Amino acid sequence: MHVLIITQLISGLTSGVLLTLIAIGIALTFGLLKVVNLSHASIYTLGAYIGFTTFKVCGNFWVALVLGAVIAGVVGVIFERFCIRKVYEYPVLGFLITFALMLGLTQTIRLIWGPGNKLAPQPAYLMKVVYLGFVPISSYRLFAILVGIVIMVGMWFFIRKTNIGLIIRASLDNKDMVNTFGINSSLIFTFVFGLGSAIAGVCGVLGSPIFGLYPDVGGQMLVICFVVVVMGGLGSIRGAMLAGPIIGVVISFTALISAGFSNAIIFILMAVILLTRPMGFFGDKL
Amino acid sequence: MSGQDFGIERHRDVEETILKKQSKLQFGAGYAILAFIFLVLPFLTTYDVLVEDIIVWSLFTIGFNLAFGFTGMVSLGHGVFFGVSAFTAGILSLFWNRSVVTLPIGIALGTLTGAVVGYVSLKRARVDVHKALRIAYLVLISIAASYVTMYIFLNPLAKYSGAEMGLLGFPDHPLHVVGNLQVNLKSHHQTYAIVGVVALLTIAWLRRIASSPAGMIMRAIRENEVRVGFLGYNTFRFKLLVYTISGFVASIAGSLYLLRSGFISVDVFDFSFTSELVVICLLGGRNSFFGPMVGTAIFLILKDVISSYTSSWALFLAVVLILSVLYLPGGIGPMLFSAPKVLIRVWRRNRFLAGEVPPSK
Amino acid sequence: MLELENLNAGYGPSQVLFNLSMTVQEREIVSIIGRNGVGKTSTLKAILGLIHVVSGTIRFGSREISRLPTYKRGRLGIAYVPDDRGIFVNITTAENLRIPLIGHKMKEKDHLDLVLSLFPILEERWNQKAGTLSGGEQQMLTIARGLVVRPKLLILDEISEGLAPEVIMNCCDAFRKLKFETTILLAEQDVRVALEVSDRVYVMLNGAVAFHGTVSQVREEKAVEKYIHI
Repeated sequence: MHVLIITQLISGLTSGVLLTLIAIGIALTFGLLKVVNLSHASIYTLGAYIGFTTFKVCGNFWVALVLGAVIAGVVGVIFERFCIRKVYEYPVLGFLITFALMLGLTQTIRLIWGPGNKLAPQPAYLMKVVYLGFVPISSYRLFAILVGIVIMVGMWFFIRKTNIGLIIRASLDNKDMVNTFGINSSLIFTFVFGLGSAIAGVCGVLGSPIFGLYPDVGGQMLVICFVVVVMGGLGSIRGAMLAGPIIGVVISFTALISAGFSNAIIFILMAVILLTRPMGFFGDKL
Repeated sequence: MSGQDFGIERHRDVEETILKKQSKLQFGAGYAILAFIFLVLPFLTTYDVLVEDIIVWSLFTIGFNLAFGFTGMVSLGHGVFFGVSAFTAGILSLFWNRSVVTLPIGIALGTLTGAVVGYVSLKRARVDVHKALRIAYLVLISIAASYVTMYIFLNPLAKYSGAEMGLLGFPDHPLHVVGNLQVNLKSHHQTYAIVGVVALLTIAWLRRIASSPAGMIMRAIRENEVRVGFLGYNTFRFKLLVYTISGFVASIAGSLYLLRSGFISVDVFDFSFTSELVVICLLGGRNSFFGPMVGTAIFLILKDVISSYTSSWALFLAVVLILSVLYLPGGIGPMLFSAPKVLIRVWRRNRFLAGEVPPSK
Repeated sequence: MLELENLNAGYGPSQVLFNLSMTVQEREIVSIIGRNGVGKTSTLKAILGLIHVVSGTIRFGSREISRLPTYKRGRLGIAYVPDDRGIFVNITTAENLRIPLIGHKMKEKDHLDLVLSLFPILEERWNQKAGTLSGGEQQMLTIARGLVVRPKLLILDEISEGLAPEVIMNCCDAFRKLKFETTILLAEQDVRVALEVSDRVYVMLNGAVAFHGTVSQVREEKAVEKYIHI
């Protein structure tokens, strides 16, 4: 019995960590630009497919990770520069354009790679099973958790300790003033967007064996990521870090009953949060 | 410089467009055209299915736009109300042969769902919250509602709803209206007659609402809800009312859909169904009453045409949408509708220049 | 040093500034006074590029800056202290002061002495989140943020609001001492403060300049009483 509990826990933590990383991208974009970026999910998908093709071509998992991140980041910057920046502060248009971008990118992926499922890239040395006491755990999941935590710590450090991180935190409060101090805030936004996209790309590559590799995978994740963002607080990174693993574990355990049940529970949870504590864990005063 | 009275030239026109008074002629002509489109047009053309589709979906989109475009409430839940209405009517009709009763029950239940979802979404979206957050709430709660409803209809209610397959076998028996008057549901024309009349009446009713001061308040709320509150309006109740009305219209559209096609599936609960509505309203014009009708026509025609050439309808739609948001966020409708006025002005000016008529102001 | 010529600006379709012209010379203190809603804040925002300017020119030094984005204007040495304080509430006092230094690529050590001597309370609140400071302290922080980079032109919007009278007097003394390295332009609701500290005054009405002159000219001119209450 506790074998099951532990495997589900690990599984939940893995997906949770990945969800957190994606959610951070969404939370930051919302906090800075007041735009709910729906296309973020399709960038995850893009990263996953780039990783797939790279791995097929050269067989090196690390290269796949890096290339997934880079291309995802570039695409993210293109989206921001040409489309999203025009709709800052217009929430409805922002929703529409990011929806369109997501749709467009997903369809393009489908056109290029085909609609079916693909086999996720996994390096042979990570396909082993490791034992924690009596419990068999996939070493891949441990690896994913590790990478995820490394990225999270890196991000935390970056936001808290560097000058650029300080500028980002100030921009979350008042971006017009930041400009008056001689700092080009739109460059900062583009950078944040690109960084978030690159991270989503890495998650895509890492997450393919776990979430699957098909064109709509991003869309399925998107809604769950929203729940993470809402639970953690729109605009809060700390909140996403806390909420991600929680949601991941909840999904993991409720999925034992059925997938539909899992979905419904998650959404009821979100509705409850929105009704009782809408700012989530660490969001702005509401 | 001495301090004399400083009169500054202002170039401000005061436009009196607060309550446009239409002449009786314009008023009558408008409804006549509408009646023509709804009741006569489908029988005149070979594209009758397309025209009918446009008309029925226009009802849905115009009702949706009252909440979305006019009042600024972005909700992805209207598919839920549409579906609840259709499913309720459909399921009840399996047991109970009186469609005249089951359809209204479906509509009532759909409207109730609308009111509940609206209440839950709007209660927390108070005015002291940033506008983007308010919209985010509406969207998220409506998505949540759609997932929960989908789950309910796929699992506990599966044997009634037909699960993934959808509800089939909407009764083939005639729809009893009054006494011996009945509508043969297998007759395409007779069914459309009902659908057309209901749609026309509902749209006329909505038009009355939108042209009244209530319509102005809706738009005012979209622009600056706090100020409207200062004027003494309870904006929460007002928004809830508008939302419920649009849910009511969605439910009517659901039943009409069921009547026409005899079929309903859980796909309508998915938020991608409702997001099509959002796209249509954007294309057609969010701030115009009939804009969504233009949008529906464009959308359905494009879908028809493009789908026959390629399977990448979605990609095409995405590109069109991006271009619309960037370059035409007001939608095409308003441009089309003001075209006649512009043409008249141009014509008048022409006649003036030719020395025929004095210029009108 | 600063020259506004025939400025027309507004928010969307509603115009707020009508053919506004104004100059500020180096080493002087100029204030803009006038009733509420007359366009004082909008004028200052136009200089910074925070509102949309339809026509007219703004010259800083010899450069035409009306087409420059805000951040470039900041880098030229214009500092802005807004009327809503514009404090970064979730970061500390120290971090608030660091932001302008980062933007102008300056070292912290050299510049903090001035502002800390002017507003010693800020040192006590050094590591506190700026949102927890009192209104007056926040006002001081905003002014400090403007001063810390030793700007060429310091623009202040209604700083008398929320500050205790002695603090205002301290600031006025400081401004008088500073004006030899920092030119100062301020918008003020409180006419007495404005007349107390400035060299020249512009009186605005309905989005344009109704009267301008030295402080003594303004005090003498009877007609000015229509626009402001002395």
